[in-house]
Amino acid sequence: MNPKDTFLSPVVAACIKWVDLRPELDSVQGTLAPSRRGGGFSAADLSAAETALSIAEAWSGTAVLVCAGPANADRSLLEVAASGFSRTVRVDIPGQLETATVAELLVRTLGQTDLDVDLVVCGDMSYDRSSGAVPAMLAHHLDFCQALGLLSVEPVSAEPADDHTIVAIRRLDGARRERIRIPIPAVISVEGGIATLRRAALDASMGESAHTDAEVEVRGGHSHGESDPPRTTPWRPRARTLAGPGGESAFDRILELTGSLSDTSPPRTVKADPSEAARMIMDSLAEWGYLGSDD
Amino acid sequence: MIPGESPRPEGSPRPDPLQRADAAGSEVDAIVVGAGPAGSAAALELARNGHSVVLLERGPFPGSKNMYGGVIYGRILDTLVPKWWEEAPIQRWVTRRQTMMLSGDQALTIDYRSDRWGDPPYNGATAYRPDFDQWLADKAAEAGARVVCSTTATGLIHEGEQVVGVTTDRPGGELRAKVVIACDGANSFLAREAGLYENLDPANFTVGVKETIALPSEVIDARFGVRGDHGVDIEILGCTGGVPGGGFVYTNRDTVSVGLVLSLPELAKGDKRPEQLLHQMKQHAGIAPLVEGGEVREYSAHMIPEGGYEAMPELIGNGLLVAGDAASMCLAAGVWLEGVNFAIGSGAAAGRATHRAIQRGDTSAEGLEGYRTRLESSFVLSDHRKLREIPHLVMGDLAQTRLPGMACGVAEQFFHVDNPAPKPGLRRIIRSEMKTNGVRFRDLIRESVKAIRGFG
Ligand SMILES: Cc1cc2nc3c(=O)[nH]c(=O)nc-3n(C[C@H](O)[C@H](O)[C@H](O)COP(=O)(O)OP(=O)(O)OC[C@H]3O[C@@H](n4cnc5c(N)ncnc54)[C@H](O)[C@@H]3O)c2cc1C
Repeated sequence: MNPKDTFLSPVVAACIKWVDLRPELDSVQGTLAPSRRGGGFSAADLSAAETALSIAEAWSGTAVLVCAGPANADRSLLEVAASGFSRTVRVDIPGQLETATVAELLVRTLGQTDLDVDLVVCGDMSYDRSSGAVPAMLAHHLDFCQALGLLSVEPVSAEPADDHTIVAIRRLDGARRERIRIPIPAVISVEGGIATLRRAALDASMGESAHTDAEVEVRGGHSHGESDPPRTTPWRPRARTLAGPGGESAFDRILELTGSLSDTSPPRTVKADPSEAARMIMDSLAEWGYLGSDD
Repeated sequence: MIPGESPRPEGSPRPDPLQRADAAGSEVDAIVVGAGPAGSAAALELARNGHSVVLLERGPFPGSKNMYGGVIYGRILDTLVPKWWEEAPIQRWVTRRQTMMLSGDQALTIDYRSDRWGDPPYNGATAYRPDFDQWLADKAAEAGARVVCSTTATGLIHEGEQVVGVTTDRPGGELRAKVVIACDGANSFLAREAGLYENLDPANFTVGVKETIALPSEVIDARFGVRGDHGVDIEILGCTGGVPGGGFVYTNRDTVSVGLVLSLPELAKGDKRPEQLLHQMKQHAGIAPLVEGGEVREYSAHMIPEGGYEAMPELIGNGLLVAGDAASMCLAAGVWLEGVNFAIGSGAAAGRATHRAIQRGDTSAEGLEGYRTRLESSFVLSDHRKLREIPHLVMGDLAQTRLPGMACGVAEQFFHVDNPAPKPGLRRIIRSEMKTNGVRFRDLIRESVKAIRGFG
């Protein structure tokens, strides 16, 4: 964690990525080629922009817009910025780059002292079938805490301001959800459906608002032509390796697969402080055989 | 889209900084609604003459909501963008024009080609509207117009009799101006709100439906008999399953546009669907070999104001002008389906008339009267006036159903060799085909006279 000394006016950054909204899909190879027709931002990124604006409003802070993208992102970027962002920064990224490279380039900007970001809000996925790991990497590099794939975000103001938190809901496996409290500084990512970016006022859309400096500040990213090699493999969801069921007969294997007739310990609810809870989780994982002897 | 301060075209006057400051208070010289060809031409003229002008577009970028068959006749651009052909996003230059009549499994084609149309200054060109409209709007932006996208004009603001601005769907969305130019396309909401249309008759509208079908460019070259950046424009009669209208096939670089234009009231009867009719046309032996094996990339539909001269609204109000499709200026006269050039011509005329009216300080309907004079003296109204009878003629029963059948029948009999029987005389063939297709001599003469008069 890297808590700042003062949080007088929190800075909330929406961190978005310019993508080709209509890429050409090679249905045989599964590869995507840019169409160069109609780039823009994913629904999740626009939802992140709105979330950042609402949080900044609730905390009487400022919202800045940080975008990873090439120069032709500027038009779309200014349209988003017109919704109420006080600064717009584009990290110049000419083409398709590996996730880790994008994250590093963004961190270089987000970590700059003139931005002094307290909260980074990302979309949970972009349309270009990337790994979705940028928010986690940002949190890692910035040493902020992280909460990803959020379904609702509620900013909670506190006195002093550095105690501001976010109460959020995120999905868990098995259609369950959990409610979490996130302290700042933090990186969060939100799903596309949770917010719709507000319409910019007419004067802001015309680049005339007194509040908006309708300029895109460009920060060094990759030099042109230096993009990572294009991804040539087809996109597939990441696979999880599962051991096949044991058993002599099909019936036995089905029993093992479904877990029917086997002894299971019923779920139990425990109340414990965080360190005690962590210990109980580790004990249970070890008991169920998920942890090796030296873990 | 917010244009940057890009360099202005050489020789054009610099916008007055005071007027620009004015714009910051949401009061501009002119608001142009709709960044189609009409709107961008109007905004370009105004910006070049140093006026503060806002070009409002409801789509996310100019052209995003627009579709058409595919051919632009660019001569009107010569004055607006000299040597436009060196930079406009053109797909192919039309060097081959065909008029095809279909009936049953028959097809009769008149085919004209000229490689001269493939050299500057060219004649017609195919282009995608999202590319072309964006390009033209960029020209207006470069000249100093502000292009504001994703913004719909929702109404007119009046002060007494005078239109003084528009409301939009954005927060704080009132914008005031000395003149509003409505270029909002077919069925113009603004012209109707201003009461400029006396009565809008659905019979004056057609619906255009189109598929864009991808094929490799070498395949297009081979099937259509062209090379390089040369392309083909085919207008088709008798392909609409009895619904008044027509069809078209146009070549782009690596796609083919195939579509139909269909009478709105007839479609509204509900027993025929446009996509079925388009499917039928694509199955016809005259069309199928051109498009088979292609992948449908896009399907789109749009209304066309085909009524021509008689269906035009009042073009001028106090502080308001109407141009392009908004003023029903699309020319749909059988072998011609020209709307983009008429939109550019009328938009540019509206821009120039507004410039003069603002200079003189009179933006009332009287002060804007120069717009009509400009249109009258250009191809826009003179072509429309001359061809005013043609839309009815083309949509009439004779041209739609009987003539294609008769022409194909005459061709079949004329070219059919039936030895040992001797060749029949042409007069006999025509008479028998007229009878088979229910064409009366009297009607044929009457419509032919109308056509000769109509086409001038
Ligand atoms: C199927 C079909 C085939 C055609 N084929 C041809 C052809 O081959 N060649 C040819 O020359 N013409 C053709 N046309 C006709 C041609 O498309 C039109 O005549 C031409 O587009 C008219 O231009 P415009 O600028 O007046 O209107 P449009 O091109 O319709 O532009 C109107 C613009 O206004 C915007 N708008 C509308 N309402 C609002 C609002 N309230 N606020 C803000 N923005 C608004 C729209 O989004 C749009 O961008 C065809 C039309 C169709 C439908």
